[in-house]
Amino acid sequence: MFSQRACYAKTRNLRVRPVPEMGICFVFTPATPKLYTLNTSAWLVLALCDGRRGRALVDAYAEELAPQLSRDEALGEVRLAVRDLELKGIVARVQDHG
Amino acid sequence: MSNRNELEIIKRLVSGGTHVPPSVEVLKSELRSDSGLEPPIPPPPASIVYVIIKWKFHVRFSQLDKFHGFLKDHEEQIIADVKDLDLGAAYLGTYAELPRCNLHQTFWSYESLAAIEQFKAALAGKKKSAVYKGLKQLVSFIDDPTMGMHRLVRASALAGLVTKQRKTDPILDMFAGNG
Amino acid sequence: MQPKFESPPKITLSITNTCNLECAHCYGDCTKTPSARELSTDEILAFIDYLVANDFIQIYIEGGEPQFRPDFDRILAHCGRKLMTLVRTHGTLMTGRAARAWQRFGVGRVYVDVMGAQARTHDLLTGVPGTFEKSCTAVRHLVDAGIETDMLIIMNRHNVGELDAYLQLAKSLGATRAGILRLYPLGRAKHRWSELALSAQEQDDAIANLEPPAGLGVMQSWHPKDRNCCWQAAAVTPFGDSIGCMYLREYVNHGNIREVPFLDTWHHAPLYQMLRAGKVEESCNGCHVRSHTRGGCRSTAYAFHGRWDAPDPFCSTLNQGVDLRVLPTRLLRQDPQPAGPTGT
Repeated sequence: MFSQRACYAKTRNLRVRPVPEMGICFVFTPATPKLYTLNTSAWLVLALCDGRRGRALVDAYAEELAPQLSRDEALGEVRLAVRDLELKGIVARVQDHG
Repeated sequence: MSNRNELEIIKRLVSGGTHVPPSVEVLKSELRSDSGLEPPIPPPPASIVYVIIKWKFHVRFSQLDKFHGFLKDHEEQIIADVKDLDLGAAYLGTYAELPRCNLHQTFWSYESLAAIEQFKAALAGKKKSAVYKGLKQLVSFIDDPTMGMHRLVRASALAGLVTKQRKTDPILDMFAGNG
Repeated sequence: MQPKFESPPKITLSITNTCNLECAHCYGDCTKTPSARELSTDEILAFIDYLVANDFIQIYIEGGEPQFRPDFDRILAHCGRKLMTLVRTHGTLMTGRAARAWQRFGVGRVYVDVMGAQARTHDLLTGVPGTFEKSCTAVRHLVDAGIETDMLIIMNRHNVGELDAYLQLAKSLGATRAGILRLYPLGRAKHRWSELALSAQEQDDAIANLEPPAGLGVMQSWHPKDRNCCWQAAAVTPFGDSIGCMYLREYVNHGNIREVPFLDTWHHAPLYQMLRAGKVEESCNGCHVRSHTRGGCRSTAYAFHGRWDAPDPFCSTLNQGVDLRVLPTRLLRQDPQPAGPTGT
């Protein structure tokens, strides 16, 4: 379950292959092993998983998508996306390094 | 690609297109001539159809030839005029159902829900324009108490969202009081 | 809109032209003895490092028969956790132990060539008795090892009557998907074309009448799944030649990776760029609308018409009356000389 207090980052050994010319990125999870396609919005969530807290992640996501999305809507999307990325082994909760 | 550069690139992509909620899909290479990736679904360009609105209505038999003649003479211009407003709305045409041909469907597309209101507002301010007069005349042929209005939205956009249904069609609303 | 990669994220690497079988349809006309020109172990490992360093994210390894190379485990171990690794094999050399090793190496998916629903058909096509059982056993080993496994069949006159039985077989062996592939006029196949080839109608009917069992995915190569995929194609032969796609092996050579970096061929070889641009004389509206590319497969278009921008006669809407059972004689004179790096 997504927590605004937890910190999130990409998992180790992940390979991310941006394809900006098509607005997507590919992600390879060696542990499983599987290849994923992330659309632009999911790619944004992934890029924002840089160790920051969930709340900051939602704030940053909402800021980029305003006024198309309200903060509540952004929270809903981030909650689902991070959960999905966690389940797929793409992001994980990490220690808060301040 | 550094994290910072990557973020800047993503932000530009996000600001340049219509928003689609996040999706993370397993990519299974489909072996055909080549172990080809399915072409990645590109981000929605500005012209992506997000909402389709369909009018379904009968035209009286006594008016059919006149209605079809009106469309023949004016429909292409309506298409062009709506497009020229550049508000994310498009008139896609009016179609007759075979074989009787008095039942019709008119299709509109909008890039976003906001585009519907923007288009309505723009039309309201152009009551002397050819596009307003053309649409008013088109609607004047619709004298059907059973007329239906259907709204279709891209299903992918509903993922995780609560849809707020609109109860009225803004274009019909505009002409309803004008006889 | 033509999709486009600035640089390709994935590549096909054919690592050998050797094989222990004698398939009637072998596109590589493989032998048991390797050519001295084949890339060495170090060259292959270095190329894999190059791919990783240049942001490739998937590698599809085929042959010949990859397991026939003694260093294949070493190659897999080198790429399995760095690239999404796909392997195509006939499986006759597969063991349970090898399958478990592949799983440890991180192999993501395996495609096993099984050429019929019964031993009589498969063994006839491979030219070696007993291979049907071995290939089916390979599927079981790979599935048991937890590797996603698909089965592949190249449709031809010998096996077209047993496709539904084949799909049932795939399901029973635990395959995730079955792929029904076209026959290409390459290698040994073109010299046995009259024996193997089906007419366009026969092929279309066979595909249209498939009844796959529930839960089995089916991949197939006919309209509307016969798009021109050159836009994304990257492939290197066992000898290091960059050719875009293995089905173009007899027609093109964009440069050799021993002499030029692979991405130089992607960015600068004129014919490579032209093929990726997707300009064709005629496109199938269905394929264009669906996939943003045109004209079908360039290999069969070139084979039958002799022009890169010709329509693909395997596409039911673009066939133009071409009899697919009859090859143009120029294909049979000798192996067509590959167009050199200048693209001429």
